[in-house]
Amino acid sequence: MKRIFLVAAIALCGIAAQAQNKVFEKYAKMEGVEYVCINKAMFSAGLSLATAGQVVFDSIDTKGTGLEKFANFNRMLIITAKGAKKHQLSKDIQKLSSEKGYEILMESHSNGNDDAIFLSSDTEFIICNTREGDCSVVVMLKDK
Amino acid sequence: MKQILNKEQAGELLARFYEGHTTPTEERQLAEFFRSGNIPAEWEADYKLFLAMTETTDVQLPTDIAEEITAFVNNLGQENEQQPMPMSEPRKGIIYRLKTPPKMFYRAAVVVAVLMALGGSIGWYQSMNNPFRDTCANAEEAAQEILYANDIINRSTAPFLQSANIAMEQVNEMNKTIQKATQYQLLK
Repeated sequence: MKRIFLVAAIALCGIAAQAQNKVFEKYAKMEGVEYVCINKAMFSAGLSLATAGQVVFDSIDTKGTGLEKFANFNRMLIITAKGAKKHQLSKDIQKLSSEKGYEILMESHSNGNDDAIFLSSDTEFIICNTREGDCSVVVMLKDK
Repeated sequence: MKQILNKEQAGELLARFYEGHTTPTEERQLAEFFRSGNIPAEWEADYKLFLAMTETTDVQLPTDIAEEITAFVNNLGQENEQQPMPMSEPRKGIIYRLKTPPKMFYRAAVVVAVLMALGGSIGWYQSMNNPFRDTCANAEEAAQEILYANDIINRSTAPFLQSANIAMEQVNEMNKTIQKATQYQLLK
């Protein structure tokens, strides 16, 4: 009986760890959606390569490169949806403004192009860009 | 000192023996009684039964017992082949039991090993299905994605920057007008 309880407890812990409520998680394995996730180490290496032309291991100097905006973050998600999935992604972005913890910084609608920038408690910065053909979302994250 | 039982005592012990309540000492006393040779004729059958149940060393095994057992087992196998077990009849499960149960340490080790295997499987499953797993294989790919993200961000912030620039220009124009007006006032 004790063994069954232990096994059940471990399984439940696993399921609980899996059940993180993230808005863009579902796009990870969705067809018709390009999903890119760059974590800490790869982000640092990629950013230094994009700014300095080589991977540097000390602090990256992003001044004057146009990549300054990435200096304060260490993880990133890029989601690009086309066709039917584009509308789903747009709807999810619209829902974000009513989500608790998300604050809309700027919003623009002109000539069928929608742009919005969201901020979530200084650790998450979301830039949404909807054009005729596709909908792109960049989520920049900073570990606390 | 050994004391041989009388018929009455032996009768009581024999009754208890059949009920399975006799102690090893009492069984030895009964055996002594039967070996004394002073056995009533009506107890002959009891005597044989008692010996058969207690003194197994006296039993003579036939020399070809091994061959007989082998032949018997082979016959059983043939009978099973000729008369296969019907499908509807439930088959009995085979239970293997260890001669000596494993010690507590080994039991705990087995439980820990099973839990570790289970935990490892869950971890592997999670890592394979984790939406926050790196999708870039190397730094070059990551750099390209960062530049692509930079384009998206620039495209998104362009309208805001444009509006901000127009607003700034208007503010500057207002400042210039105010400065001119102030200078005019001062000259006056």
